[in-house]
Amino acid sequence: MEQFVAWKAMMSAGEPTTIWQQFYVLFYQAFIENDRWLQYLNGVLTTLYVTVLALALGVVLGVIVAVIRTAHDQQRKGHRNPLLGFVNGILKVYVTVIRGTPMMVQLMIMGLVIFASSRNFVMVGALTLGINSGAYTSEIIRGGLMSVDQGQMEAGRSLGLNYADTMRFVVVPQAIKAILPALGNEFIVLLKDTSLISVIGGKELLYAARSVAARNYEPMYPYIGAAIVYLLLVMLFTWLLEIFERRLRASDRR
Amino acid sequence: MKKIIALAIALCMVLSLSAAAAEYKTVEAGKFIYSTSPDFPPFESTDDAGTVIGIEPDILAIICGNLGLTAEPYAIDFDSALVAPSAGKADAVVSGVTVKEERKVMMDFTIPYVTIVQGVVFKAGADITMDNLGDKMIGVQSGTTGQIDAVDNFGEDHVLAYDKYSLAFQALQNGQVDCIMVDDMVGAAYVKQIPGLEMISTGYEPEEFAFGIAKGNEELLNAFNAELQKLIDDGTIESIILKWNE
Repeated sequence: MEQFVAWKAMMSAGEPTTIWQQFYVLFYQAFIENDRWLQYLNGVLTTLYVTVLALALGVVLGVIVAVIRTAHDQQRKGHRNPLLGFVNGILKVYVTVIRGTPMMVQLMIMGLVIFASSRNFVMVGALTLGINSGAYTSEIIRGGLMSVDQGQMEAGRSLGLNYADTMRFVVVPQAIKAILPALGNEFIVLLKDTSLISVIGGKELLYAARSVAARNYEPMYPYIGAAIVYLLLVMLFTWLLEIFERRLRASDRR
Repeated sequence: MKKIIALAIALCMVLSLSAAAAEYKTVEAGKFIYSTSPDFPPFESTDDAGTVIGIEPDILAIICGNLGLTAEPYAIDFDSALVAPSAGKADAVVSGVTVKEERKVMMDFTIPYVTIVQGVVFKAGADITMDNLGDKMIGVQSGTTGQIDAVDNFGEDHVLAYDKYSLAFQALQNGQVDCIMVDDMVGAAYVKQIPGLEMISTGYEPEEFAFGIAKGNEELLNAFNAELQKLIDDGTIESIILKWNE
């Protein structure tokens, strides 16, 4: 502490300082002075909270959309269900609109127009990210479901399983294995996209780093610090996904 | 023969011009690039064509004209604008920058040319006084003295920092924040633009605005100081400020 004050005074007075002294001062003021690490910690917790909420919402939405759209696409010729066609149309619009507009614009619209009177910026952010992620996830899952050969479904049905059971025990397990890498990609993008909610006032990790950088007029340490935290989170995420993938592959003979 | 002489003269003139411009070392020769956050009327804002206009661009146009430089704005969020000169991306930050001791590590300030006080803007009729600000949510722009004052006095939990003041004022109209802490002259400009707002003064220490020249550029700093002093003495700056506050 005393060292920090003394060395900082030397630096602002323009006296010669060693690289170690400069590192110490800049590091200290970016993370330790006034318990600033607490700001980062709160930021990381918010980031994780938003990611988990958005992930859950995105997967639920994605599965629903994908199942309905696959059911619509895989109807027999000449036996089209008009209700399914109608819902499929709406879902198509949802996917098109969400994938066709930038994340940042969606956040601005949700934060400042649709939920204009809400002060719970973190929840608004999680909701927006979840809806966004749902559109991408649904396409990934749909791809997985479509990739399972029609014969699998026919075999299941001919053995007496109904549509839902065939999906649950035959088609979905095969699909999940196929889409896991793509899904992992989407989750990683989602985790990093949480940094965008700072534009509508969500106090996540990047918000903390920006506040500290603005305080010290020194952007390098806070931003690199934030980048390292994001990187560690993504690496942890990737590692968990790898374990999951390995488990699913345990019975593979390739 | 005539043509050759004319060409030689033209060449001499061009060379002497570029020689005058090259007197100051800037990021790009002949240009004075200044980082600015143009959502800060009347100091700087953008017109419908996207040009940066306001008090400071007007002052810069005169000074740079006299120094043989072309002023060129580098529009960016305020907190990034502050560190742009030290990152070598701009020759100066000109964005209603308050002279602050801590900021002197990053830039060399010119002489100040205007004084302001922090103000608090809120929806007309809202129950807001300087005494109950501690229970309210205060919107600010990231990196401003407004943010520093608000955080120091009322704590991180009562302050929301936005990228731009325009966004903060949008949030105020939505009711997402209760009030905005902002330099009084800027607050007054927003109050004039957006109906149904009013402003009170915080009564904090007055703040002085100056240009933050990239550290170590002595010639440019001295030239700017001399030019600024001239403009202050002959009342040009006062009339520019008056013009933009009309």
